[in-house]
Amino acid sequence: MFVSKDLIPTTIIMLFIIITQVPILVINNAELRTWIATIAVFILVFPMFLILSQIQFLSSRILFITLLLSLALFHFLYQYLVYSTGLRATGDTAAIEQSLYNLLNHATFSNTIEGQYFGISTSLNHFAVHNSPILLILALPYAIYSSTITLILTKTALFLLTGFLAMWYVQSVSSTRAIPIASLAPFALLIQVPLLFVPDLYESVFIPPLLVWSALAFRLDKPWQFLISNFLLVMVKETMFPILFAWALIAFLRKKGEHI
Amino acid sequence: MGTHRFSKEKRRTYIITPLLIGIVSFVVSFFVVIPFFNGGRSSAFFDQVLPSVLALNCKTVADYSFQILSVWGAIPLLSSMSILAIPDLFVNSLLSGGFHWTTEISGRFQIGILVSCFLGTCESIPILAKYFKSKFNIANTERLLWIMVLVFATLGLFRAGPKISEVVHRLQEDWRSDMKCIELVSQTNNPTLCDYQLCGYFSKLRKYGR
Repeated sequence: MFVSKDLIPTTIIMLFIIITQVPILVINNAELRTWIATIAVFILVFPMFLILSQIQFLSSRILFITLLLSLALFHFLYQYLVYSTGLRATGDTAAIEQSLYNLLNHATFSNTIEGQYFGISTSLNHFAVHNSPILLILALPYAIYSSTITLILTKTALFLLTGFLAMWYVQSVSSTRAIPIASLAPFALLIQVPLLFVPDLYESVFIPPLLVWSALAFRLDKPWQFLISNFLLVMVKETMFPILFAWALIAFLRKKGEHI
Repeated sequence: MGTHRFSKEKRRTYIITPLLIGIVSFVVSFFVVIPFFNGGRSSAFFDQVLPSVLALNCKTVADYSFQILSVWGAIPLLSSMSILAIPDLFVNSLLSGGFHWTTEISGRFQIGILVSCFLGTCESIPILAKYFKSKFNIANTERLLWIMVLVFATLGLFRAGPKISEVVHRLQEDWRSDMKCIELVSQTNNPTLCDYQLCGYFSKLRKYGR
């Protein structure tokens, strides 16, 4: 074979993404698109997984990483396309980028966009609207290269981090050697996340990695990691406190002596 | 892996830690940070969200629950981890007035639900594997896991595919209307930030605010 075997999974996945997207993009009838997309999934996905599962030299870990990297690349290119062509109004990205710019240049985390939701036309501090200090983390990469591309790259990095944490979580649940193959499940999950196709950056992009990290810390009994992840979760937005109360309820419902 | 048991001390730690952080965060956010930066005014939480909670429409929560179950099935419910989805379920229903198109596109509000469903599903894998192994004599759990992965991939694509197509078509429509709007606004003598925001033109917005 003139093509390296190592390229097979990437090629199949890229072909899969392209082929399934074609009818979606071209056909202008919603119902017809739904059916074609579904049939395409059945025709392509099932044999793809079955074939890949038979390839002995391909470990599930490599397969998972290939899938995740392909999806991250797709995510980055899609976001970049939307940004570079001005295809979509991205008010939150504009507000956050303005706030970061003002923080680095004028020492105030303010912008002129968010206030207009409340009829304020002057500059307003982001913390007057949402308590989300986790956004200040973005100031570091933004200081290095002040561009929206930096924010898109950061979003992609958070996306990848979630995927890897999800893989570790699946492995932590497992007690058999076969389970790592199921780490492909996060891939299915990540396809479902509509966040992937939202060309905007806001506080919520920090929720998936932090929530999975807190679950991992809970499961592996790492109290300090659990504390830090919980602390960072409430830094995301002022509305995160009910999720922490839900954590307390889960711990309360776990029986003594039960596996966590 | 999976060998940690839930002792009395651990239970206390994992109950008290999130409760304390949650309460402190609630007080600091709503009574200190937001009013301080907002000139003494309270957060929109008290003006908008809280009244909605008090006037909660059970139908919207039920509709939303049904939609989630139709996508994920009941598998996550086998684990208590699915409790994590409840806060987002309520916030979602309140913010969207039920499950409707724009919320589904944005996805920002339901991100907690998706992650929680994933965690609940993972926790349910050993339960399901044990059940199927004894009932149907499947030789190893790997086959079962493959079936689960395939089901999820199918469900995910079945759901995401049409949504992606709608998003792309909406993007194209928005782009056309944005360009037309920009053209009209630019013809006026003194376009303001608000004018550009109505067009939703990102680059203009970003530059205008500095």
